[in-house]
Amino acid sequence: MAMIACIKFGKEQGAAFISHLDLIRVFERALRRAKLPLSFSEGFSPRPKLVFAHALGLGITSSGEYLDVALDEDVDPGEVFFRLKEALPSPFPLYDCAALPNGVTPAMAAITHASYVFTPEDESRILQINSMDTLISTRNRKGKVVTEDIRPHISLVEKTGSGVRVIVRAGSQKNVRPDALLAALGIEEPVPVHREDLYIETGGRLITPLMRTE
Amino acid sequence: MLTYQTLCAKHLDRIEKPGRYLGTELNSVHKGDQLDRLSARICLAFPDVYEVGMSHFGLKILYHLANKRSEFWAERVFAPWPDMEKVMEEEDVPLMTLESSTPLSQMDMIGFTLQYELSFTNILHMLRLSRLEIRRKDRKDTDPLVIAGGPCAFNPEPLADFFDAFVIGDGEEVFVQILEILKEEKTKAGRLEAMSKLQGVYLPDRYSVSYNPDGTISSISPDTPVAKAVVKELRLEDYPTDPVVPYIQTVHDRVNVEVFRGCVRGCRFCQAGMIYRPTRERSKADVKELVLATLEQTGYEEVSLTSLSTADYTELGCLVPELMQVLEPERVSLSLPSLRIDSFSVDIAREIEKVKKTGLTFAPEAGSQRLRDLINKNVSEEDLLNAAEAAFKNGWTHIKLYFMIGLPTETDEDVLAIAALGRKVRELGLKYTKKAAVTVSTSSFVPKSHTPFQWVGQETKEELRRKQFLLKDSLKGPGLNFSWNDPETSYLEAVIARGDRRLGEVIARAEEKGAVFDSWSDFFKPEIWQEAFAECGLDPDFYARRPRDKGEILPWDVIDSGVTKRFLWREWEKALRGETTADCREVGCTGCGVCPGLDVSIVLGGEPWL
Ligand code: SF4
Repeated sequence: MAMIACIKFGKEQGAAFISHLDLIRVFERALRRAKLPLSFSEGFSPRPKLVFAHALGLGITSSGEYLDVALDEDVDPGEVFFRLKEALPSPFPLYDCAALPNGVTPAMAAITHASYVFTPEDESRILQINSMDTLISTRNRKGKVVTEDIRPHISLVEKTGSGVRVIVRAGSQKNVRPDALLAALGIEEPVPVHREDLYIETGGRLITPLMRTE
Repeated sequence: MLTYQTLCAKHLDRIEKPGRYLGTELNSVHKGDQLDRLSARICLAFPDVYEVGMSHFGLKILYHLANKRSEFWAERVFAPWPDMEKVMEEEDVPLMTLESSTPLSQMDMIGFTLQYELSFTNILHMLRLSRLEIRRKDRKDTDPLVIAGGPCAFNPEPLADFFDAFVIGDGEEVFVQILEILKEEKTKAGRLEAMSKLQGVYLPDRYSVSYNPDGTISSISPDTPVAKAVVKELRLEDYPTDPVVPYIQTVHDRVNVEVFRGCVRGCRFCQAGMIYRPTRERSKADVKELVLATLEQTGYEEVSLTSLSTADYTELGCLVPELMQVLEPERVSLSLPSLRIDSFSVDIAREIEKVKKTGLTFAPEAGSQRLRDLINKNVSEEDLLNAAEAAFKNGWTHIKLYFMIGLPTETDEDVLAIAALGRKVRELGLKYTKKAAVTVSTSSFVPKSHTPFQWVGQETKEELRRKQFLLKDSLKGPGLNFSWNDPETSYLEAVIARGDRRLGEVIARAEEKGAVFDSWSDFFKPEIWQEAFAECGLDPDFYARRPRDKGEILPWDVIDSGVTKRFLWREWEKALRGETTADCREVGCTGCGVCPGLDVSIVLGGEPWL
């Protein structure tokens, strides 16, 4: 294994309904078409080694998805970018690519925050989070009702040009799903949600997975 | 405007697999920005769910042939799953194309694939969802042309009331001719008139059928049948090296390269083996070129060499290692859909499954030698045992054997011979591995049109069930598995496969009463069909069970497959005498009629063969 290519891509409307499992196949095939020196797993049915940073719920568009791809040879990240851009189906825009050293913490383990933009009919229903001390989320887990205050895991709620931006904890440690947030607010009708980006908190600031160094 | 994407967004929680409806897959063709340059828009419709339809290769060929021409746009549609149908009904949206969410009623032409009889109610259902009249006579001149092609078009009669035209045989050339007609002619009447002159196009309203008091056909007029369309060779440029790559997993999600079309082995039950004659092979160089070009444009991880009997491909022995050499380093696997019963096939299988030894499937089709001779499956018990031994010796542990139950003249002895064969194969396997296992898989025989068995009656469902149980009881024991299908669906298949025009009313009524997805056991409701038959005063046994006389006019006599009725009858008589007919590639022409009749010839390795 020579390097990890970290790829930043998006999911437009036409791709928002592709489940995570299907997304893996889309990228495996795109990477094959791009003729990159993929590193394969061992065993009966070798698969390219890909790790997605953070699964995205069905129906959510995004401009901040990340994927780590293991390559057997060093390839200039610009080259990876252009070859993959050609190979991806149109509803998957490609934004950036960085070459990271082998052994870098997988994005999946490193992600701590996600930023979403909600565009509800009535924005005040989401903006009101700013004036709340608690926000109780109720979930059904294995037949048991579990309640949790998710307010501490919401770092920012602000109005933007296109809707309401909310930055929440995300990743393997603590994760606030957008649908859980809407449910906790008592919003039942479908609200368009867009994921803007994913972040890693390090030394008190948020960086993107492309900027990982270790 | 509501599109599939907006419907999915709005009702996400209710739609199980939105990936079926997105229309944005890799290599899907969008010409929405060139509408004013288009001469015609068509929709290719497959009357089953996306995952099944997208595995069908004919559809991909037609999509490619139309879309590579700048003046045409072909889009796709599949039968919406009930969850989506419900949403569309509530939102008051008609059936739309996947690519652009355009209502089907705005197309110039809708072309359905007729792959199996049990999808026929889905066709009517899809027309209804498109808000088009189901019956041809009720549709307006401004409505799209509704046509169909595929293997079931060889007996188009049960669907004669619904379609404007049927395309019979190989689609590559005639489909392009039809596109040209759509461009030149702008009225429905003008288009149909021009189409009537093409070889392979059947217009049901130009024929009338009358019946005898006993229900058989007294005459079809005119009595000039429509000859099938046939391509002399499989041309490179007709093959889609850029097929649409689905987002969701489909039944066959891989590169499929058709190494040859047609089969002249002459199995007497096999419709495909009669209607797609003669064999036309691609050259080895062409196959390789197509495999590599398709991989480049799809990124697939599996390649399948398809045909009716891929082990018969003349140069398979050199093709497989040559392909493996390029595929292996790329971690692309190779698969062959059908194995012949011989050690050559096992060698090939060994070559392509270097590590992973999953099961191997052989299809002796019948248990006793007597019955295998009758169906002209030129395979002996020794052949099977040799092949099975080769497989066990090479590390396979599981062998699947495929048989039919209810073949003409079958006795209990023949059925028990299936069990005996299964046991013998397992015992053989035990010499090599303790894990040796055999699965015996059976289906009920359905007599099909255009075959030597087109005159025979199907066995009763009760009899078929009894034989299944007989077999099941005699296949008990470790390492032996048995699977079978429901004779109820085989019965309906037998009714429709050899049905006449009067069945149209039955199919329409069944659909009205809610029959859809009949090929899906969860959906199939035999009671609906019984009611529909009763209301129409027709007896399904008349179609499924009744033996026909030599001289009887058969509903599908309107279609000429190139294989003569005389040849088929001769084959039937030989079958009853237990005589086999050899493959014409081995012994020379055996006179089926297709080569002289349609001015074609067998093509081997890309070259015409005498
Ligand atoms: S006409 Fe003769 S050579 Fe041609 S397919 Fe039929 S039997 Fe074979």
